[in-house]
Amino acid sequence: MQEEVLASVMANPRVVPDLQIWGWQIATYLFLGGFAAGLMVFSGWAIVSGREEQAPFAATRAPLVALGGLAVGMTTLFLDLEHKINVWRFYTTLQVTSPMSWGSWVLLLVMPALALLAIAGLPRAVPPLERWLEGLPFAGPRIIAPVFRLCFAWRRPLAAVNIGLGIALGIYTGILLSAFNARPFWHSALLGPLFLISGLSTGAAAIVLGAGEPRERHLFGRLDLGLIAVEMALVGLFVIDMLNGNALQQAAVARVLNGNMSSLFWFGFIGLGLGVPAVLEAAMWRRAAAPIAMAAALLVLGGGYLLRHIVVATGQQTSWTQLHNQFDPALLERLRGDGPDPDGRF
Amino acid sequence: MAHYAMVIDTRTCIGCCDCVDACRMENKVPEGLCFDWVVEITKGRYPDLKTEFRSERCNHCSHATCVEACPTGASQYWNDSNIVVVDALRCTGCKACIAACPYDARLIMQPEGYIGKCTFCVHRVQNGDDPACVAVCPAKAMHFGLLDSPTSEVSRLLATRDHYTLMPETGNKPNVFYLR
Ligand code: SF4
Ligand code: SF4
Repeated sequence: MQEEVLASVMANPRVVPDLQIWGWQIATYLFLGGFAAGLMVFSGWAIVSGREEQAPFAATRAPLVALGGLAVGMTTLFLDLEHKINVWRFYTTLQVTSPMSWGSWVLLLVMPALALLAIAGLPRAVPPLERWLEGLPFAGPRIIAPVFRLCFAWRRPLAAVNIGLGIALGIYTGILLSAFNARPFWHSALLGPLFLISGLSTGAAAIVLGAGEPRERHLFGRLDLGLIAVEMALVGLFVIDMLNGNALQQAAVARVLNGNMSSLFWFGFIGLGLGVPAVLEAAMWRRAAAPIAMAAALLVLGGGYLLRHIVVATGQQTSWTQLHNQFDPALLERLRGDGPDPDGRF
Repeated sequence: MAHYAMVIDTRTCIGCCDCVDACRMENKVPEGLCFDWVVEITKGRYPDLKTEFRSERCNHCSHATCVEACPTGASQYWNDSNIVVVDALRCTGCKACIAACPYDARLIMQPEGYIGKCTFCVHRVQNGDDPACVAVCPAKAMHFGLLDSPTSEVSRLLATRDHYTLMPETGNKPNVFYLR
């Protein structure tokens, strides 16, 4: 038996005794990053595969929604920085070993690509815009309108670029966490694909919510069902990965399966975020009903956020260091050998 | 590459925590934060107990995951050595390095927000002095020097005494050694 207590005080706020460096700001950013990635991929897919008639929302308005979501996400990311004055330092270097550095450059590429795709769709997304532009004195017809036309003409290659960047963005949100060997719960390469698929699923859900036409709503509802199935499989694999991991990973996943995170995980994420929408979407396989489809989509979006929240929070709750700052009677029991867990360390 | 190491004798350490106070003074550590700390480890089962003290800090890892995770290069090796320092002028406070350190040796400086940690007192080391904690230890339990030279005090201690590092299984190759 072994106990480790601190003889001096080690209480660096938000690091020790409990790691609390990343909160809702990071969960929101990871969620909106995946959401935007999903919309980029589906919007690009609708354009490249010639489904613009069948999926008008995905082809024209979705990039705009993605751009808004990503802007909010990058704002919360900025809010999380403790030393905001140096934010520009992200763009003075590329640190090849740092996923966060890669991610910040990916974001820099995503923003203009997404903005151009949004511009390409804008005249069709907002029909009065063209008339209004023509009515403007000089800049409207001579400068702005040609830009719109150019983006529209180039929308296919733009869409292809957006698909590529969307996949990179979606995977990156997961790889960012999985690169931390120091946090046992994040140390699984499955987080990359899991966050990507979840991002695609929330993107499809957003299109279900935004689509005006039943045909488009139905198409993306069915797509989303497939994505939910894949996501469930990946969650299952991730849990198995942790259960077969080292002692720290087992302790971490126990928090999710039957510890302090379990009700959020089982009822919130698995139940309301994946299970119920899957059942609803399966029931609408042949004929979609708008209110039900929208309810399912809202649940998928909520589940997407919960997944980020659970992973971000749980990852910080298990650490390699196990130090006690205060007298803990349980330690004494262990030394005497009469506690509930005489050989436990965690 | 200069390979610095700290070697701490748990047999002579009496757990007085002078190293912690010396660090506070030397590095002007803000109230409520610490760059180093002392752990009391008790092993065995009553009545056969054994206690040892361990003065802990950043391990100045040869494979420093904090440096790898830093997106701006603010976390870096000093002068091609294994001493890991943070450049406050480049640090964004993104906290990736805190998440990446398995030893939880990093902290958020208050109120500025950049990241702080033990520097092995690099400002003293470049003048040929020992870090403040080593210099102040009344039990002479702490030793500091270069592992590159086989005749240095730290090399000789590691060659002749049984020793361990904290959680080498992290793969970080820590450079604070404890003599048993
Ligand atoms: S102990 Fe932590 S902060 Fe220090 S070098 Fe190693 S990983 Fe970095
Ligand atoms: S908080 Fe500062 S030192 Fe740490 S990883 Fe971010 S930029 Fe680098």
